[in-house]
Amino acid sequence: MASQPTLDQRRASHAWEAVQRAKQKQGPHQKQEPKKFGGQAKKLPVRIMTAGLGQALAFLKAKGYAPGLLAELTDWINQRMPPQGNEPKDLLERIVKGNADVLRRATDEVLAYLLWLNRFAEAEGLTEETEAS
Amino acid sequence: MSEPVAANANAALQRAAALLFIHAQTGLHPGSGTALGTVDLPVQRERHTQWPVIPGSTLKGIVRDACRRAAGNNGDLFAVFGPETAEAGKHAGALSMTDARILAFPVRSLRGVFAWVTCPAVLERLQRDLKLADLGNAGFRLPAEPGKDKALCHADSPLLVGGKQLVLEEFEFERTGDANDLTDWLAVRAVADEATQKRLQSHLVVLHDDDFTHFVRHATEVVARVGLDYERKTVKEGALFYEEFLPAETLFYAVVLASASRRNGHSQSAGDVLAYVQCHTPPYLQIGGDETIGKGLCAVRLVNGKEA
Repeated sequence: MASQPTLDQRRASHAWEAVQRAKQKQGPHQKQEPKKFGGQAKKLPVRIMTAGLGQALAFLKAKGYAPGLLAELTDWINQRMPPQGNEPKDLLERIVKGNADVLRRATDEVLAYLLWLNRFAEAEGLTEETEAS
Repeated sequence: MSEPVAANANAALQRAAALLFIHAQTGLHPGSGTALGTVDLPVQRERHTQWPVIPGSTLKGIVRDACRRAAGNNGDLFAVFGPETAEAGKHAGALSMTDARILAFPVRSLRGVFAWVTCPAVLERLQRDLKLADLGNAGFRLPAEPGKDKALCHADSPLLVGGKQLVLEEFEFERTGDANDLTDWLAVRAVADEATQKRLQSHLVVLHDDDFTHFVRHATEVVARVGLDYERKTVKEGALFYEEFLPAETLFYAVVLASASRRNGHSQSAGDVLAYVQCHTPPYLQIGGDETIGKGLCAVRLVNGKEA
């Protein structure tokens, strides 16, 4: 086996960087409350499990609470599954236009990635009080 | 099925086998304790397939308890299931049970309400299990391998949209053939209820292994549960958790193997042991967690070798 980080290590590393960027309002996180990032990330997995990845991401986009979260997910998925040919680069667009296999793979990957993202967000204090939103 | 044993053969070599079919009638939570994932209380899954599973130890405990209620806490019970813990060293029980394996999983369908999905990997394992239990000669023919995004089901299935398309959850499948030999075999064995037998024949779908695995991983029910503050009727701090359930209608099977009794003064043959279990197991068992909120009620059928 080649001595490179495992897939899970790479997810963790990307998620750690994402949480740091969100905390310092860098890049796609500029106009976003860091705690909103953490709060939305926390709610996302269950939304994916109950409504499907496309629906959950569309909801996130429509609400606009945490634009940085969508950007980080897109960035990670594009690293894991580089878009082929003229496939769109935006994650939501990829899911809407892609085939069933893209959706299945992305669902698995996003859920696995969010485990790390949420753990680190919690560790860095990016949590919201439990309230409806 | 066990052959009649020659008079001088060692009685311990005698064996009888049966299949225990389990049909969940309410949500089922064969739990695995707490987890660090999204869901706080996930269902148990096999490590290598990620398919849900009910451990043999759980199952045997439940069947033992049912038989104890029906037939009493007596020597026969100990001969079949083994003695009580204090005397565990005396002899082994005569009954063994495998983990209950997934057989078919219900998935939301655009037409026909829901489909039971299964796949070649599940069916090949079922055939292996039939052989393991010497129940092999009366099996079914394995259906053809469906490709990715393809499906096998009855030609007149109410699931079909426009004659050859199936829409399960948000995925489309193209019907490429049927699995009628399998569905005929399964329907009459797995469930007792006539209406359900008919439904199973028309609503069973064989999918590609990967498509099946995606559904059993992601099409379970994830339920938010809360504890309310008694006075304020609002959620108590930290009392929100997510629990995963296998949907009602999920089908499992386990292999049940019986040997002759090893208990002094109780000389049941393997066939007697199996008959004892068959006779005292009620048609419904409660399996897994959350009994008092109506979860885990399952119809069970013990189909012995002659019938299988």
